[in-house]
Amino acid sequence: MPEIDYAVPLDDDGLEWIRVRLTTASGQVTTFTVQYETMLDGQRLAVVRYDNAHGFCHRDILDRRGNVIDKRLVLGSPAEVATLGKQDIAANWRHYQAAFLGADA
Amino acid sequence: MSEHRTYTPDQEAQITQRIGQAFDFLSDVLEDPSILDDIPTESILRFSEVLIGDTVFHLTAYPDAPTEYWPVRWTARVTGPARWAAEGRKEVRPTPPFAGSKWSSPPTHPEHGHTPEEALATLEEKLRDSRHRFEAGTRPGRRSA
Repeated sequence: MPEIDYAVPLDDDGLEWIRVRLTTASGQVTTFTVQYETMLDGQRLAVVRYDNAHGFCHRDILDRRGNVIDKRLVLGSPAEVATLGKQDIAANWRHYQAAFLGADA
Repeated sequence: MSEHRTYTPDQEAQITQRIGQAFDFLSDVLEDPSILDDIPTESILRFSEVLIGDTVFHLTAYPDAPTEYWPVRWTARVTGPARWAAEGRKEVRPTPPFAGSKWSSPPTHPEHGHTPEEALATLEEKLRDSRHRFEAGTRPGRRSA
């Protein structure tokens, strides 16, 4: 299955990013991941993501080691989940970032 | 070790706007996956929107592969709504009097620039200059009755 990976710079200093990953089959998107990433020690690390891996849509919150510290099922079609993800991360990215950066490694 | 980042209100607004644009792009791709055929994987994406009449056009810019003639070039294309994204993919033969200009292709067709801002601005200008066609509810390139 073709895998597609895009990066969206959010700020002019390259500290904040959105990464979009998609897989397709027969011309349709089969899985998607949209994650907010932040730069730390020269690495882009995932802070929060919405995806539909494993057959259901969910939101993951991660720590600096890449461990999922909160997983929440998100009900709805992929399009509805995209809308929910937009509302959540646009409204709360500062909160997610502060929790991520504030936690000791 | 904890870290705190400070952003100005303008910077925060820009970040919030771009998050929204990235999810809008995902929505456009879910509706019309053929967008993925146009934009190479591992691209860096930049976005803008243009409101014309009742329609919000989603524009996406990405870097082209470098060539001898264009070592650095960005392409901007319409990625939403799906109707207009599809229109922008149709192949057309350049109209001779306008060949090489922005009017050599329909208003929804991609434009280019040395920077993402330039490519997006050129496409945005072309769409705005064609606003009467969109506001009239006609397809670009066709005259209204």
